Amino acid sequence: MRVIAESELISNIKSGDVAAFSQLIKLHQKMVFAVIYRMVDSLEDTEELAQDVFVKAFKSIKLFEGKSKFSTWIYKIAYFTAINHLRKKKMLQVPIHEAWIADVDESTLHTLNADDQKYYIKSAMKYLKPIERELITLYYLEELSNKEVAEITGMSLSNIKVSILRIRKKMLGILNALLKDEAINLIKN
Amino acid sequence: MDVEKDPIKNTVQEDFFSIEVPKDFSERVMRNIEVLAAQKKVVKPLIAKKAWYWVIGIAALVFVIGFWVDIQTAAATPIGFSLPELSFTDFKLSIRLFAIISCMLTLLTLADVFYRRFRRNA
Repeated sequence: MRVIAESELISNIKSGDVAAFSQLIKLHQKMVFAVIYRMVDSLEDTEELAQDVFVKAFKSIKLFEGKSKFSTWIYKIAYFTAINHLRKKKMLQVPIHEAWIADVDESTLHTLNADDQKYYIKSAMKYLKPIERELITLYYLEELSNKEVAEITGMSLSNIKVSILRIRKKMLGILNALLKDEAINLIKN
Repeated sequence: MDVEKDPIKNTVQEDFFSIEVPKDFSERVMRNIEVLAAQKKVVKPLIAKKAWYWVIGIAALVFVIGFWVDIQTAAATPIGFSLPELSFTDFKLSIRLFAIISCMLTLLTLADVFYRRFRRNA
């Protein structure tokens, strides 16, 4: 039902009904915000970039042929808008510490209680590269299929799966380092 | 890996939609879009009209000169009437020149048409 409504909206916009675009914004704004925020990590920049994304989508809506879902198309715009922003600000790279890439397993994570797990996972995510953070998030979202994630990021499915394993390993390394630091601080105090 | 007990997956999913979209966001975007849509689309052509006249004028001149030079070198006939010396090589050269100029004009026209169409869609 929603797909039909959306395709109708798109054809209305293409034939000049500008006001119909506001419904498309309302349908996708939350996801666009989340996709951008995951990478740029600043509310102010996210808002500005999200506006850019919708303006770009409006300008090029005639080029949208409906071969993929509109959501995939607009999330792809959001993804690359965020990457370009980070590239301009030279924020795509994050220094890597050796401890993060040490050989680790998930057992440490399971020794923590649920709240601590969330806290440390969120902290560890902040140390990932923005693209890694985005990739792992999109991959685990139930709203998107793996094929859609591949379309949005422009990566192959096999490449995505390999990257996810590598990112998980890196996250666990970061987590271990964070826990170790905390343990050292506790001993010092 | 047990999906239900995967803490990384669970946290990532929970955290993803934690960001709040400002209530007036869509209105603000629509204001920008309405301004954009209201702007009259002025498509500046790749090649100005004046330049087109010059190009066509020069092309015609080159074409005429090509034949005129032939006429100047024409031999006089016994009846005193001058006919152009129809050298086949010169004729071929003139036709070739004409073909080259025609190709250039076609390319320029196509470039102009595509440019206008591209700008309109962009």
